[in-house]
Parts: sequence; structure tokens; C-alpha cells
Amino acid sequence: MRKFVLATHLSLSVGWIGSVVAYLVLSVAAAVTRDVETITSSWVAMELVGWYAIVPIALGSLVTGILIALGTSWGLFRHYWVVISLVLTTFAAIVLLLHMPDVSALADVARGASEGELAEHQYSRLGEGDLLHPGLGLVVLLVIQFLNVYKPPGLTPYGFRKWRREGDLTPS
Amino acid sequence: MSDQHPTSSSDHGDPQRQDHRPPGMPRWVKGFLIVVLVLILAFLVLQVVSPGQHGPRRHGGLGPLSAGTSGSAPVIMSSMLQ
Repeated sequence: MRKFVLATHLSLSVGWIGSVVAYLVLSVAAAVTRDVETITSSWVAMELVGWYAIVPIALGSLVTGILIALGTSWGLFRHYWVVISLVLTTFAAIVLLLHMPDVSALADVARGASEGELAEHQYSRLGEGDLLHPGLGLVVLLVIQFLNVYKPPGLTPYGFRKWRREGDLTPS
Repeated sequence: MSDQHPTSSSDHGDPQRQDHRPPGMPRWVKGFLIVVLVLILAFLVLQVVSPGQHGPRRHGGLGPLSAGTSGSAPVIMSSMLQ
């Protein structure tokens, strides 16, 4: 069961990065083109990728990460790298959930652009794309990924007390 | 998380375990926190320099951008841009 959760967590974590890259590609497409149809279709696709790929994958990654930490002696608060990974993952998931309604609102504007027409202020906003959120999000996800692979050493004070009390902390 | 645990070696005679004081914060954590602090400060400075461009307050409403509020604003057609 532990390996199943671990495999699921790894798949979701890497999938989160991949889906953000896909979102970023669409966003860049919206930002670099002057074609209204490309801009509007990119925003509609970004909304779909966001709600139906990134959000469930992100939440799944967060939940399975917590399950793995709690199910092994790594714990959630014993090692600095686990704590930082948890904080960054939670932060990224919260920002994602706060940001997606804005993406939906902009996708609605894009859908309302019947026959390729957009008001100028709508065109200028949609034409900016959405580079900041997925760009910074990708950096955060890569930091988390490297932390999870390298596992830099360092016990928190709580982890140190547990270590002294319980002895060997090899993950079961 | 399945790799060998960094504290999994035998602790027999481990002086650190005998010591009641917890170890200090590792250097990489301090460096990481400094980088995060710098990024937060940079974000706050940007907020002061160009307020309203971005931030949590922006989330939850797009104001006049929403569909149906175009009014008499100029209309751009894709054919005009090609």
C-alpha cells in the first residue's frame, strides 16, 4: 500500500509540473500572438487545463504527500526539507485555487467574443496571457521536486526530540 | 521519501543523541529562508511601486473586464489584426 501511494504521489507531482508547462505554453501563445481567435481559444483551453488537470493533480499531490509523510517515520514536521516542501506545496495549491476563478472569468470573456470581436480593453487584458502565476508556480514546483529528490539533511527541534525518544527512524 | 533515512544509522554511542540540545538550523535552511525573505521584500516593493497591479486583493473580481461590459469601447476584430 505504501508503494502504491508513493507511486501515485510521484506520478501526480511530476504530472503537476507537466500540466503547468502545458498551461504556460497556452499562456505564451496568447501573449505573443495578435490573432484574436488564438488568444480566445488559448484562454478557453487554459481554463480547461487549469480546472480539469492542474487543480485535481495538485490536490492529489498534496494529499498523497501528506499521507506518505504520516505513513513513514519521515513525518510531517521532523525534517526541514519535508516541512518546506509541505509549506510550498500548500502555498502553491492555495494560490492556484485563488487564481483559477480569475482564469474562468477571463475564459468567459474569451467565449463571449463572438465572431472574433473583442473590446479593446478586453483584448489588451487577454493578450497579456497569464505568465506570472504559472511561471512562478513552475519555479516553486521545481524547488519542491529537487528538495524531495536530494532530501537535504537537518532535523527540526521536534524531529530531534522524536529521534532521541524513539531511536531508529528508518522509514517503515 | 522511500530512500534511506539520514538518521537511520545506529545511534549507539552517538554523542548527538546523548546531547539534550537540538541541533541548530542547517545552513541550507538559513540560505533558503533568506532567499524567500528577499523575494517577499521584492514583491512588497513592487506592490508599493505599482500598486494594484497584482496581489491577493486582485483575486475574486475582474471588475469592468467581464463580458457584457464593453459598452461603447472600441471593438477589435481578428480580421483587423491579420
